[in-house]
Amino acid sequence: MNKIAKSFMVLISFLIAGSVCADSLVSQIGTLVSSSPTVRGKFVQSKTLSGVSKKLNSEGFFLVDKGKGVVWVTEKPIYQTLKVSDSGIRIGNKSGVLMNLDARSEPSVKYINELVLAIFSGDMSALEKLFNYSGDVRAKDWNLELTPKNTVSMPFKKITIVGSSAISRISFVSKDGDLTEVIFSDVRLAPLLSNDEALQFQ
Amino acid sequence: MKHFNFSKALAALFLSATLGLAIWMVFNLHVISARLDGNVFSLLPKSERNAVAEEFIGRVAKNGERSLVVLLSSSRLETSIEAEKTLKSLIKGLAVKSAPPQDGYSEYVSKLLVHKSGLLTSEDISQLASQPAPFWADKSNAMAYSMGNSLIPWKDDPFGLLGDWLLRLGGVTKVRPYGDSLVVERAGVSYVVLPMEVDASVDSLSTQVVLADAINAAIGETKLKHQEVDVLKAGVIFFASDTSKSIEADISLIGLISGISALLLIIFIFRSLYAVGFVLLTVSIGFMYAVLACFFIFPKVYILTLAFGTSLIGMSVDYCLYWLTASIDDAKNPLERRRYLLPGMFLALITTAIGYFLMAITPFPVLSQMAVFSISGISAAWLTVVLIFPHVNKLSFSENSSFALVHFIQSKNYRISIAARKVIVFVMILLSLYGIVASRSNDNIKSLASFDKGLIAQQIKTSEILDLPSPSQFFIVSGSTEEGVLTKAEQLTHRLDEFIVDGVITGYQSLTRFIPSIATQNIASKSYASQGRADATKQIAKEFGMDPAWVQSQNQTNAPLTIDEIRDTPIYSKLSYLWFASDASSIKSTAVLLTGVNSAEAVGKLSKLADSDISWVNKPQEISDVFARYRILFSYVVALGYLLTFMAIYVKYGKSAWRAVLPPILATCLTLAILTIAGEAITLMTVIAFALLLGVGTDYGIFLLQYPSDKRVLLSISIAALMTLISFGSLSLSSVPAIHSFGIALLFGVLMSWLLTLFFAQKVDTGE
Repeated sequence: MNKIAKSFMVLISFLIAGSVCADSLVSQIGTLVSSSPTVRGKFVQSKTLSGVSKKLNSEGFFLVDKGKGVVWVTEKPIYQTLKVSDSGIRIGNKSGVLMNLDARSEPSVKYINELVLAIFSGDMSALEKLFNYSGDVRAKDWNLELTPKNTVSMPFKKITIVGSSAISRISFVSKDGDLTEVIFSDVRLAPLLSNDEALQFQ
Repeated sequence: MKHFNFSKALAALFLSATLGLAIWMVFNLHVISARLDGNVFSLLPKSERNAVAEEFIGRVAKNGERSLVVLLSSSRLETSIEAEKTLKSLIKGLAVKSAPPQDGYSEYVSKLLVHKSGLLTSEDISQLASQPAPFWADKSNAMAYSMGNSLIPWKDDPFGLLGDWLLRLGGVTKVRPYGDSLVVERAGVSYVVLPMEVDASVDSLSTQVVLADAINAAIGETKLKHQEVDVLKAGVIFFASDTSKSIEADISLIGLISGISALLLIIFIFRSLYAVGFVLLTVSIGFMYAVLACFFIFPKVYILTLAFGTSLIGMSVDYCLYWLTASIDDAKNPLERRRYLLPGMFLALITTAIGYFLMAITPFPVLSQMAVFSISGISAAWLTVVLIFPHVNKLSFSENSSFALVHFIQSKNYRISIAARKVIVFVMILLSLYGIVASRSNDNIKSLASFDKGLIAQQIKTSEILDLPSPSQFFIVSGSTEEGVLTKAEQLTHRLDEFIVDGVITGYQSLTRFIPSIATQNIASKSYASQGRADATKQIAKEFGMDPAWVQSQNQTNAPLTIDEIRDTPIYSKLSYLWFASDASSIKSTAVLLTGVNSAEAVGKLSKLADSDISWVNKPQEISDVFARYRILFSYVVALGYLLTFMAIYVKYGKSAWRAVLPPILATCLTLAILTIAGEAITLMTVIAFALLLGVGTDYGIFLLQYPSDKRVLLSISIAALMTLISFGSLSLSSVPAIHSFGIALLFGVLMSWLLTLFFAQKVDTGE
């Protein structure tokens, strides 16, 4: 697949040694993750909502452009789009806009955009501002467990990211007990968006 | 013989009472000092009108007293956050703690959920009316399948309606959590917000000053370490510290100058340390009684009272001086001397008390306290002189060069020809008329107190960045029921929404955002019951496997939310200061606060929204109005005071009474002229100074009328005038504009009053 993540040393003492080692984890990921202006890939999402018996499975593709934000397109079972940029968050379907959150009226849109970008591009330095984290790095795999520094503001209780040579899995646990698990495949980096991809950001 | 004993007994009684009180005071010093109040707001007049508005301002002041905020900004947010960490570590040991983050969110949401059909945004209400079932089913699917989580569990808010409503509440503040920090953005700049709360242990002015200094030092060090970071700070504690420092500087400067000059003057006149000792004793006794009177009468003793009241009882030296000068080369025994001096001293005390009484009836807590302080201090000093001095045999002095100096002035004065006098009087009358006609008044609140301009600029900028509502310009909406008040407040906010669009204001804070009126919630519930949404609920229930009970609970409309239901939540505790209801009163009220009121034009438009249930409160304007009203009222009172004093003096001295009353009147008018020429505006404080001038100025004339042939009297009133000049004149050095105005008016007033008393004195009887 690709070059987002390289292999890491096993940091056994990580949890014991605390922040000094945490820093070294960040810096190692920082040097090893070769970021790219754009990322794209496919996803399969499975969601368990508290109080809802049905397991919600969906799939589709995503695009990440560091300058423009993230487009998340669900193709099955229903078509819908989620666009996150620093100017707003928009959810739409074929017939139009379902929800729109403007950054001018809601300042946290900017931070949500930053968070989403950081997660998809593996930008550790951005993540460490918002989360306390712990993690493991084995020969070819790594995982990170993020807990929000400020629990009041975040709907998440915990975010887990698992990667090998690329991000392979993200899971979110909400305060209310909702569980979202996203498995990625076919993740590719490129310096630029293709024309078709650029249209998705419109 | 019997009379002699009576006098001694009285003296002993007064002396032992004084001693007893002094001992009590020494042992209760901590009780007295605990009553000291350094509150800068104590200078503000009490409102006569809106009790709710006063209580609101009190609540804000109480809330605000302990909170402060520091904003850090730079070109990069990361740098600002680094600087925040530095600052946080530097203030760790200080008596402040970061304000706790707002918690209890889920508890609050759970309380709202049982009322959700009534809590809808206007956008959702119109969509509910227009959109069919498929729209709602799609929206619910989008929320269920979305990446990440919504703030409210899907099953409780499947269409995100309550979520939208909550998001609207978030618009009240633009501050957002960011990791460990709070961040707000304004005009493209990100500010890290560090709100803090001063510990309850910081309860006195001196500990506040220490804390403010330490915080300032921490800010300075942070700036040094992160040079690209800008720091803004705001909070009452910085103003309190700054003000108390400048007042302290004032006290030491004024105290030093007036104290030293007064002592030098006494030594020059009497050439006796014994005299100095008795003057100090008299002033100390006066001071003690003054402090005790305030302690027993008022719940709090303002530090300003002590600061400037001390200067006011400097006048108590006058009686001491009358006695001491009267004993220069005096052959009479002390009791005869007392009988001789008593009529003049008594009349002088009465006229001075009239002056202070006028000050006591102002609506300004500090001024009335100063007046009580002064009346008790001066009366105690008067009693000391009248009761104790006659029994001290060593108080006798010989004539010296100071006599010659005063009589040199008087003889020069007598040599002024009748023609020249006529010209002088004519010129004085012209100047007086000019003063009366041309003087400008200033009733602005800024004429009362001055704060550091840098601090004010930071406070204003911080308020703008954080969208803090104005604590002094707001609406109070009242009614007999909660529903009535909320409905009326909503009507007001609809008008305010228009004002936001027109740019008159930038925003408002109203309880109705959090608790809409029942009528509004009923309208929302009606649209919540729309067929489209109800059908969609059934559809998604099938899709997601929800049971019929869920459908039923989603499709029912709820009872409206009331204040009582969220009263115990942490969120309401932050809003409770906006709501006023008591068992004692059937009237309930709420405050609607505004942000971004920046022009007089905006104030004009806002004030027009007031009606019988909505009152517009404009505290600065109200204060200015009170100033203006009392300035004018006082001018009449002063005029009336002169009439009363004239009548009192006329009864005793007949046609010559004008000689005592005209000098201070002319001095007042001439002072007006001088201040006008110097470009100083006439404030309420100036007029209050004139009221005092009425008290002290007439004393000189009374003494000259009472003892026309006693050459010592000329000396005693001259020393008294000089002492008053020293103690009041030094007030003009104050950095507090109000005290400065007061001092400068008395400086000119007393000087001219003294000169004019000499000028108009009867020539024949001085024994030249």
